Amino acid sequence: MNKTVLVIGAGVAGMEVSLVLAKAGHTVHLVEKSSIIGGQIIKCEEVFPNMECATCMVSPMQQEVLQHSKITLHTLAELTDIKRESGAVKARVKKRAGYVDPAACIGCGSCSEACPESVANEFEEGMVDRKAISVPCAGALPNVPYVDTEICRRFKGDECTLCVEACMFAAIDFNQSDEDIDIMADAVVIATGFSTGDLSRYMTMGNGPPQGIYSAWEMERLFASNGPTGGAITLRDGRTPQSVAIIHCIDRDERGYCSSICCLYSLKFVRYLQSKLESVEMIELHKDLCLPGKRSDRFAKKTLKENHRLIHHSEVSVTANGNSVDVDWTDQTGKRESAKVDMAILVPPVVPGPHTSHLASLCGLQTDEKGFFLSGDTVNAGQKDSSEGIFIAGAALGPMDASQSISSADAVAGMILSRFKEVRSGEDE
Amino acid sequence: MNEGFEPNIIGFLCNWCSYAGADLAGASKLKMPPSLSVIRVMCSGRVNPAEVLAAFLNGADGVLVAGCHPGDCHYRKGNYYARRRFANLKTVVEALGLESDRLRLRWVSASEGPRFAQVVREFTEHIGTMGPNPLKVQEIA
Amino acid sequence: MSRIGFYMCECGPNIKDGLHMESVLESAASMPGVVVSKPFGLLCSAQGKQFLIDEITSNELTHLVVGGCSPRQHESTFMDVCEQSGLNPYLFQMVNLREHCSWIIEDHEAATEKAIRAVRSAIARVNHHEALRKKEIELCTDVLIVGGGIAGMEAALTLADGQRTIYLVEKDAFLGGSVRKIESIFGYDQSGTALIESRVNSLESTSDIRTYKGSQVTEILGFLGNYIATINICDENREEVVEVGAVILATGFFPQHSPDTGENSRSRVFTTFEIAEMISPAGPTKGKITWNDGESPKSLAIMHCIGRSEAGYCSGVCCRANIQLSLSLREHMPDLSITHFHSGLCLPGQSAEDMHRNALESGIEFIYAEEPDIDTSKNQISIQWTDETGKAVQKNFDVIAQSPAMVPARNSGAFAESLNVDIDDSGFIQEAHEKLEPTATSVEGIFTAGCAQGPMTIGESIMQARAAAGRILSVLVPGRKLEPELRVANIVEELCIGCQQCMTVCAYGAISYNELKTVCEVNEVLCRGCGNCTAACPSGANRQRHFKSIQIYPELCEALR
Repeated sequence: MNKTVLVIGAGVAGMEVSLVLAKAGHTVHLVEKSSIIGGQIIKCEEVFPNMECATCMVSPMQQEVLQHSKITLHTLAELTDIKRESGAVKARVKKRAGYVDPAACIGCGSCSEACPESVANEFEEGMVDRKAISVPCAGALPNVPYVDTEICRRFKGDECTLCVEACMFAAIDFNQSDEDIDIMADAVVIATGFSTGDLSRYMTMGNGPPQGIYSAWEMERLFASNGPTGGAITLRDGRTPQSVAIIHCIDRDERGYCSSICCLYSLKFVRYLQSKLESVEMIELHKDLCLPGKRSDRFAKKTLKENHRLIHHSEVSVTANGNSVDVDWTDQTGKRESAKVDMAILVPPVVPGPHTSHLASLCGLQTDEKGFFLSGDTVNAGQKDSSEGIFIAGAALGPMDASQSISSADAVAGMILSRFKEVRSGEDE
Repeated sequence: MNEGFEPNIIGFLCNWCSYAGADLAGASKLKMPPSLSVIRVMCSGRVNPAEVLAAFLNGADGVLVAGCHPGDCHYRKGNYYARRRFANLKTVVEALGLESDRLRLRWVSASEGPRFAQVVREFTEHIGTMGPNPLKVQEIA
Repeated sequence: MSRIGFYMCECGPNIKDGLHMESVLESAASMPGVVVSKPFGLLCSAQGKQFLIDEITSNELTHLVVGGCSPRQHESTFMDVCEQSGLNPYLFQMVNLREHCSWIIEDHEAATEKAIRAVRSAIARVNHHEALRKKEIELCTDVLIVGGGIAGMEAALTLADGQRTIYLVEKDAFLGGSVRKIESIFGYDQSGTALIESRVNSLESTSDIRTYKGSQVTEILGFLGNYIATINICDENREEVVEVGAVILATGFFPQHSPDTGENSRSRVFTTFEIAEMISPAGPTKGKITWNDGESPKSLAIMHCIGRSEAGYCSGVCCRANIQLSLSLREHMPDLSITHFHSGLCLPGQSAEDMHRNALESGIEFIYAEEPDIDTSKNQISIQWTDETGKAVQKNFDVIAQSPAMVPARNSGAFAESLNVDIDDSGFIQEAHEKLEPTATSVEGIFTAGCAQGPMTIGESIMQARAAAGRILSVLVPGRKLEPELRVANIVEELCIGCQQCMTVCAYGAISYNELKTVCEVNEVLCRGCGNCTAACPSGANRQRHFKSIQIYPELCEALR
């Protein structure tokens, strides 16, 4: 019998749980707050430890989600209310108007070209701008732009019609309005993912970002072939760095936990740098190399070369100094040292997604001491969830890599599919 | 470079990576010469050496085989076999009386639009300097 | 007689303004077999699709060719259109005139020429297309689980949805594997023993789950949806043959014990696994700590990362497990001084550092020492190491616990290989894709969960077990039949010379050798349609449907005219 499941979040975990449930024959409503699917992984050029192309890896999954007859995707949408009604869940989803008709739009980009307003592109970590009507990046799926009402002139009183005129398919419709849709679901999956710690206190200096200091996400976008520099590792002033410092565990003590994936993706950064910069000198400052898993040691061994300095630090400070960056640290023995590098990459903590606490209170879910969702039953078979019918998958539960997110999503699908039969017993077949 | 010579190149592109990369190059409106005729296959491992030879014997000035980067093959290891076959093919192509670098193997991922465009431009230029397929000129084809 | 219809999408201005449509339509019309060649504004729109349906019907088309955007975008759209009009969807070819022509070539004439070549190629190809018909293969919804540890048990409980029988096979006399004999587990407030007990109770009250203890699976034959397995019930000296649709390998890990290296070592040198078992009421000594020849030891050293470099990986679990073990020992023996020797603590997860802090606060010591020297020859065990300042330090301990790598269960690798399931150099089961398919294996229909796949925590094992179950529940739906990919390899018996080259290159074990007929055969359920075997075949016996040489030759020949 066909059931309905509501999935919140279209990253790796959200897409996976949607596909497994849809293939089992159930109806899935996949709700995503941005205009595109793929979550955070599509910001990466490659994934660790096999250094596989992230977009190539994920695009078959994205295509399946977009084409599967049992999955209805709602972009620019958010969960606003949830109630339990006679064994099911009644959810209200607010869909923001994007002002573009996805059935008519062919993704040619003429509207973006014509648009006169732009703003820093969040997907590209502000390193380049995007237009008021645009898709976040080249190759985004669905390839349908949306109008950002915060910057679009029309929402400031100007009767601008440049995008409408540029579109040959009459796909832009400013008569659209936000809508609320009600979905009766037999189960809900929260797969809203993670965020990374705010690095702004290290990243702002004077009028803009400091020369030479980069956040981990900025590094990902720098290396990305569809990113702001087309994959070239060049500093903000165009120079190629000759020396790089990667600084792990930023704010780790304050957070009180190890984010578990950062040592591995920092090694990935080392590979990125090695592949593009011939003889770059690297120093890496960490508090403990966290390399669990059957492939990680080998990955580290293959990556770390002789000229790579690994420093076990207890304290570190990073200061932009003209064209370079001063890195000062205290090592485990108490000795103080410093280095001057062209580029410093700051590795932030993995933190709960920005809407976690709001969603938690909306759905009656608990969060743990660190702010991540607390998964109801993980240990005791047969014990009922306190938050019946609502499951959590992926990094919304805590720092994890893509393969763990997939397992988490499949596990939730397993619990849901297993329960669906339970619900049926007692009904007439 | 021969005047007025427009190379005619057959390109075997794999569905998951290189064809997608070519699509991205197109969506990004990157300009390329019109030289490449695309044959879509599911995997670069599908490319049979006999088909490559048939292309040359029918007058192709160049043949490009493009697949996923090693380790990224959608079918696990198809591209490794493509690589091996390609290495052997080079010898055979020479035995036919053709320069072996009329045959080129390149890895292009789905996100590498600009790289695909560059591959096409570079190969076209290279074939341009080599001139038309000598078998065609000798009217063997 | 072919009746080919060619339709060219204008795609608004995207194709129309980029090349000369008339020339392309004319050239197509001139090809043999083409009975209609028309343009249309936007073929993927609702009107466009209806237009095509009407055209196919009214022109009695036998083949359809569409020139437009990339087939990766709309091939499936137009295949649906074919189906709706009663035309087999594989008698269709799409030509990329936008991403590969109008958008990338500046010069109109050059773009038009290229488009003409591409369209003629497609028409030449489509003539040789075959109507591929959907196949349906029966499947069995039952599941076999090899290994009755925490992962196996959890998988069984998740799979028990009332629509299938689950066979859970365990070689030991008890269910519960390694977890059964652990008293305290980091991150949980229940003991391992209690964890297992509650699951055993649930299992016993679920009639759909048939448990075989003291038994082993000796053979599994078949493929997804159609496996036949033999279970050898050792105690009863009999065999049972079961039919299942999927298998989960949950054979776990092997908790290494200390090798006996002499008189002193037997009561002083242990592995952390041994000590954990010792303090558990369900362990071999029923919770009685018998070490140090019966005397109460004053000091214990826990040595992390023993054998890490030989194993080649960090087991990831031990730092946390060892800290938990030391906290647990603290409770049993408050006067025991405990020191951890490590070369970097691996503490992922939200609560690991809190646990580390608790340990520090309770007086447990942590010493950073790379490769300390251990001397077990005397009465007390002497440990020597160099501290961070470079100074040599030495300390004596009554008892030491070495923390070895987590390795796969013995014989699990050989068993996996007998099923053609790939294993890695360490003997762990290789995932089908290390990021996207962590519980699938190289053989479709055989899954893995827990430490058989790699060292992981109990929570992760439970998660993987449910994940494997989820994947299986999604496929083995009662009443459903398997619909395999149609563009698969097919071997013409008469032409096959039995060289088995195709078999060698297949990454999915989809090809087998028929000894009797001395030819190779393709299992169309396992074949994924990559075509590698087709390229490897020296006699032309192996053809990939929809990508046959006879289809590709005209495609490339036409492009070269």
